[in-house]
Amino acid sequence: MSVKQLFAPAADVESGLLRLPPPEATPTRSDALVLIDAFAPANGRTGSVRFHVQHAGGTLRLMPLGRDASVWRGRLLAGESVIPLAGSDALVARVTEQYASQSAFGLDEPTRVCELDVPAGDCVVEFFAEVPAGTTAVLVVDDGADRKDGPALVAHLASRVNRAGSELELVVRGESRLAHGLAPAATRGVDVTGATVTWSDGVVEHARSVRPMRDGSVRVGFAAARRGNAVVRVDGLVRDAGGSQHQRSLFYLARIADGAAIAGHALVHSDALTPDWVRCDLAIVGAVPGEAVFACAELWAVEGKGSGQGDGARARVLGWIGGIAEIEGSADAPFARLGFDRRQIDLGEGERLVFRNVRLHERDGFAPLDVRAEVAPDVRVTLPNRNQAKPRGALDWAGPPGIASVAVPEISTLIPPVGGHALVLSHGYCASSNPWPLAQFASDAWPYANLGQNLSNDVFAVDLATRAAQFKSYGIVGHSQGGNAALHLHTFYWSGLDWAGSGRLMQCVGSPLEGTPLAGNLAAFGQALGIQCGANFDITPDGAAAWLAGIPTASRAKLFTHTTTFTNVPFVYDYCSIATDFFLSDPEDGVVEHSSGHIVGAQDMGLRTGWCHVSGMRDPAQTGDANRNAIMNAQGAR
Amino acid sequence: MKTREKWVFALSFACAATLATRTVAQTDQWCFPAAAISDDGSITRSVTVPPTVGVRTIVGVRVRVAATHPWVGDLSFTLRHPSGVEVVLVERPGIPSVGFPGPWGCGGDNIDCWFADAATAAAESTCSVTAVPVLAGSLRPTGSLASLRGRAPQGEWTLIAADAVAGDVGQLTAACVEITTAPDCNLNGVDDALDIAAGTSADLDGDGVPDECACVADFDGDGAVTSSDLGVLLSAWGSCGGCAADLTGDGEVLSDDLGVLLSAWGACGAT
Repeated sequence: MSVKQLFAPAADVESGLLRLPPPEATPTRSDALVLIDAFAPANGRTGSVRFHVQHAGGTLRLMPLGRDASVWRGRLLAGESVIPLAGSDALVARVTEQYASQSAFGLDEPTRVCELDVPAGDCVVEFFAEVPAGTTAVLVVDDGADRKDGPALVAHLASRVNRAGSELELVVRGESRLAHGLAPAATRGVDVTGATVTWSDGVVEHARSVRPMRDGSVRVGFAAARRGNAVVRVDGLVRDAGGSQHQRSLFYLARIADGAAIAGHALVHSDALTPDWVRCDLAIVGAVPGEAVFACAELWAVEGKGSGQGDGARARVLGWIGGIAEIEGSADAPFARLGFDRRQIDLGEGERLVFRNVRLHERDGFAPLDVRAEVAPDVRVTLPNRNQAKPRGALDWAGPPGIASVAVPEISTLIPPVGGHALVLSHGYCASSNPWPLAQFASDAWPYANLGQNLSNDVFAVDLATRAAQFKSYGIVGHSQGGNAALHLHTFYWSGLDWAGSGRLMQCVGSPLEGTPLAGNLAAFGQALGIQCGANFDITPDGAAAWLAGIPTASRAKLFTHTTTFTNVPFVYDYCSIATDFFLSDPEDGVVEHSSGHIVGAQDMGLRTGWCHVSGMRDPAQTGDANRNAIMNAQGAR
Repeated sequence: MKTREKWVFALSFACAATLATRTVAQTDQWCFPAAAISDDGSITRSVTVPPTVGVRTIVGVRVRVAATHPWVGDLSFTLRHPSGVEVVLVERPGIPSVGFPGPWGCGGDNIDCWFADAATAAAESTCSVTAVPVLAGSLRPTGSLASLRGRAPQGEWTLIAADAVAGDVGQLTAACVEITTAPDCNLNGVDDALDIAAGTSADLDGDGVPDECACVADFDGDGAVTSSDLGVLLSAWGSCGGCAADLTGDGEVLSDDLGVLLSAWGACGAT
């Protein structure tokens, strides 16, 4: 497929939109949860688990996850009382409705959640369960602390760049989040009681080090022995402001990258075929020609001989370039080629062109591979001065078309050509069916279907474009990760999206544009339980941050975002999915938090209540909203 | 309706102003009637170039095509010379595609361009997601319009417009063939004046007509080499400073000049 050569104006750089946020900006948190797993019996039929609940009394919620979890049996020892769980709805324990979702994130098992009114004071709650032999079970416990202001376990990696072969550190701290999204407050600290790493091949390793720091955080070190996804599990006790300890477990999905790194030099030149097009060959090490990476750099003009970084020399940002690039050159001297139209920038007299915040990312997964603060290129082309440069905006943000391409995997399914112009309806991550009701769309709507898949945004986008290539042009209505894939496709590749007529090019509903905590936490459960489709780094908060740092405003502006949440009934515990509610901050739709379903620069079409992510949740599936579908159908570009 | 839109005269080279009228290259535009382009089909539109005086040959052709269509990658245009020779102007621009613009070719709107061999940009690969019309300016055709050089301009010219994919429809709004012709007495497809300037043909008498075409010994201008012309030559026999009878240009009228005269004996152009 032909890739786009992206150029963004200085404003996109100055706003920070195209910079990697620090890792602490996108932490994974576990709110008021204790997660206990692996009480599956290997040799018998009965497993058990004991845990402490320390609080002043209140509601305790227990959610067993696993095969046949709804028929588990157990008992609770609360103080001197013995409370049988089975058939306990007449007692203190209440078995709530089964809104654990039928297919949210592939978590297909209906779940029974038990709510218990636990007396004040320390009590031992013992849970026994009989589960089918040889299966793994997970018990999720909400200890009843105030989830809006309660103590939480929060973690982030110390660095955005995490390469195989290096030592990684997860920074863990306790945090008490103030209500209504105000700044988090520190707690009295955290004690890490356990830390393990589970690799995608199932190998489990213990953390190499656990180091309490003076600021109250704890640094958990582990060896990144191999590339790919790793789930770091941290168990800890968070001390709240009153000194009480709260048991918390957290699952952090880390992406260990490997491969190309920035060599530190670059060549800027042009050729006769495209005289206005300036080529920027960024030297790479550790890459094989033919591989593809995402590369980007800020363009700066620096006055005189200074660096413009604290030495008094004047420096100003000219713009940003980026794109997916196939590694070119020889095995000894590989490079990634970017480019820009020379008329897009202007250099004053005596100013030098330098690249700053140069980054390489994996193409698949978008994990950062390397970041360089500055690269001074060897400029072998005359760049225009201010009088020669065209006004910004007069040139395409992506172009010229067809100047570069990358190989994509062929899909095995034969897609016969249809022609015409369509409105593509895309499902999301790990979908078991296409959720859009075709009857609510015009006859030119086409349901994309590649079901039960765990795809990166890049693979998803390429697959979508390949299957939709049966049409001349199309707009996309994307559900969940389908919206991410649409934005990825439009940003990085030339496709039928670019030929669509007037109208809204990309419309998405419930898309985890800024990620979802479920991508890590539930992926970990899914991996343990053998359900769900596996961990997906792209839609974790970390992965989304890395991905969004490569998407300019011009592309974002073509995306119309819709978000939904559950019906808010006063004095009632509301949720879309009681299972996923354990991991999400309100308002949310059972999978995606409202705050993550929209991004700066996109068109926010608002939050609508009474709709959940998928069918099987408490409120109807958001894709079934006939009113919105009518609007999206009418407004959608073809 | 056949329309002769305008006449354009051009001198083929700088000193041509001193030449006889018949050495002047001439450019004419002949326009085809507008028409809707059949969806998933083709149309033909024709224009007839009438006979002209004297032997003239095509030395250059350009074609203007203006059409509205929301997906130019569906379209093909072919020009057919009266002899039946066809030149493909553009054939579904963007196909085959290597990534961009995609399997359906260039999806841009509309065409308003001149197809000319001398153009730098190839029509087949010109495409933009923003430019309207997407094919504009001067573009190099898929086939070679030079293949029409040396042919006679007279007769019925045809433009074939085809739409390969059902769904998107368009209209041929304007189309003209611009034909540049010139005297070409030796029928080599090149303007006689250019032949002389390039040295391909000699013009010893400086009359602007290649000597292989001229009746060099027709001193009295009666259209034939006869005894009266022989008399002129014999009367100038001997040393001669630039006289007309010095057919070989060697300053003397001798037997070699006589040989030239005798070889041209009879009506001019008869040999």
